Amino acid sequence: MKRNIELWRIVGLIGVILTLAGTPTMAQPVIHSGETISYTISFPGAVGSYIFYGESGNGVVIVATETGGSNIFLEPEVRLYAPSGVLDATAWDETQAMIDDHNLAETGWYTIVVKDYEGDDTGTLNLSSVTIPGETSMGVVSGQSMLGNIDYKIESSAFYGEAGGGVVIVATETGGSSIFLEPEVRLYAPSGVLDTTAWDNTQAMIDDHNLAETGWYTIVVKDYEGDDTGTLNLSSVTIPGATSMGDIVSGQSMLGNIDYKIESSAFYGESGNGVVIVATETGGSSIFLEPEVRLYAPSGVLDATAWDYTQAMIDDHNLAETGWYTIVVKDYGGNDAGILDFSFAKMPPTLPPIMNPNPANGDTVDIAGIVLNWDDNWGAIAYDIHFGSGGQFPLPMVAESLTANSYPLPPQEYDTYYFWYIMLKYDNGEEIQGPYWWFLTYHPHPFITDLDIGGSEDIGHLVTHHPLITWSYSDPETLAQTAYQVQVGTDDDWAVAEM
Amino acid sequence: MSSSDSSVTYAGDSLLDGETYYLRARVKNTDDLWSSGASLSFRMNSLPTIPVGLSPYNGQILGDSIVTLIVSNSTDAEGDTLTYSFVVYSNSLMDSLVTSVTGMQEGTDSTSWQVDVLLEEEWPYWWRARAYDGFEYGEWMSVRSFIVNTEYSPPIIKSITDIPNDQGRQVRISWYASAYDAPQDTVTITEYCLWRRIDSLGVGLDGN
Repeated sequence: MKRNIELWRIVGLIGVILTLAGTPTMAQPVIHSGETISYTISFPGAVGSYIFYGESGNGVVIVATETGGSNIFLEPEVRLYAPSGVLDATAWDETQAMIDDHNLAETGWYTIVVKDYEGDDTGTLNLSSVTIPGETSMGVVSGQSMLGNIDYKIESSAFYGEAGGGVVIVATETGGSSIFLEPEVRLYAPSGVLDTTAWDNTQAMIDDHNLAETGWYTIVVKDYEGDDTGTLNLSSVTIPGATSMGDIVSGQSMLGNIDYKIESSAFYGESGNGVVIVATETGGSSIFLEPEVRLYAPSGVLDATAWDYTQAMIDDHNLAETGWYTIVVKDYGGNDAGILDFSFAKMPPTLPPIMNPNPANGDTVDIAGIVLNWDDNWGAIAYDIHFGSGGQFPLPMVAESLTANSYPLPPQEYDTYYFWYIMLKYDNGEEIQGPYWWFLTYHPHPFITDLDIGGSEDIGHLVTHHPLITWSYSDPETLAQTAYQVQVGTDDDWAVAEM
Repeated sequence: MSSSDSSVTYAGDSLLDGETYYLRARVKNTDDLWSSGASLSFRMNSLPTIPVGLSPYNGQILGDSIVTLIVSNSTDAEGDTLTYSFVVYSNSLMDSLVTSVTGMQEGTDSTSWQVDVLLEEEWPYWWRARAYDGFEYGEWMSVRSFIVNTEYSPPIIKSITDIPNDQGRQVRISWYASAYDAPQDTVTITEYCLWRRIDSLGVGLDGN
């Protein structure tokens, strides 16, 4: 048996070596950045190979995870070969092998080989790959949370960061403490270098961290040991950047939905201002949410933090910087969900230079007829408008030195997050950047008009016991109807329908 | 269901009268986008209850040529305004229509209709009625018959039979009752007189 295993290993490796010689044939499967491919080692010694195009200087994250958890014996090994055929990097582990913090030296088609480390075990593994810069599996942007499926694989996301800016990245398992997924967050700089990493039993967090480079950062989230599955919410906030709830002014309260994720807000503070920030769970003592408030200065530095079993409070605190502060509220342990009410007061309670955006922060709007407008509290003489989608950072300036506090946009794309901020210009030459705001456009769906039953019959006195149901179909994009679903029930529980 | 149709006939269990139902529909386009659900509620109409015939009662002989048919009012679960139909036939198969009316407005407790044709004397008629709630007719009431007889109508002896073994002292006499002899008749029959004649002498007897 041992002899057979050795034979298969030799055969497998010969195949790989033949492939590596010269330009890889496109018959080899391509693994795209942000993609995960499942590969089954069906017999001892079997190897799988995939190719991707990389450029010299790119960073790369390649992860091979056994899919059976810790109860199988497959030891994933991943081997990376440069276009020249040279072995570039290799890694193996009992459950999850990872090549990262690694820059490519050549430009061309790289080959990834996956196998069992000793070649004597079989099983299925998931191969995930991310190039930096490159596509990611998720599209989380500042102020958003998105569900990642860590089914023996990684998920990845990207954001635009500027050198000196701050970032808060939180990965929270969604099953609370009843599941075993241990979230891990790994942050890669635009250069591909591993910038920082964090993991925890329930909620991993990178914060109080300043970015050293400018460009597109890559976030990878995964199970710490790679042997557990589950879902997690990846939340991120860049500082400065958009927040999930928009800006808050003194005297205002907001409700944050801490559904295994964080919420964020921003306020304009001036050096020397006093602040009081209180986060209170709304369910009283009957729920287990433990409110935590974290306050970040405009520079991205963690300025203050507080937590409690029912009500967390930051007070008796003076601001050291001037600019847009970021508030993050979350569950302290990251393993409970609920609604938090958080209130903000500033001494003195001066208004920020700009507020009340339209569309409101976080709104979902039609693609057409969007008019940006805002309230200017400090009397700017002109405004520059920076506007773009999540992939257009740094946000391009779309209008310069406007004197009106509104700006109509041409029709935008469907199902797209848009971000914008106003640069306020004052007659003394000073400029203040407003907070980042965001909105989402929706894809117009078809709709039904004139739903009717029974034709000319009175629907309060229907006579026909098998009546005709009719409707009119409309679609804003004039697309045709392809299917319908009709239900009739004796109550509005649509799970119990007679038809 | 994959289809571009904009109508479908409900094919589930027969919808029940008097029940309120909810209808929801949604559609999908070529981009695989579903619409939100459009919905409405509707109620299946309830039939009015069957009216109860009050007059004439079944088999009644009427002494007036002006005949009025009377029913007690039906009820309706939806509280709809009811009207009534009356029909009169000249045969029990009810395929020979004499007269009819629809849309008779409901009275306070009962609803009546005066038959609008002259009915033949001493001819049996059958009648019935039903209610209408503006949407559906209720069931017909059970059919009833009557006879119009405005002429004097003496009792008619049907038979005289001897009571045997009494040495000729008793006989049993039976006769058809008078046309006026009915509990609800306007003319009250209080007694019948039976006469016998023996050798040209008549003797009055009380009772039957």
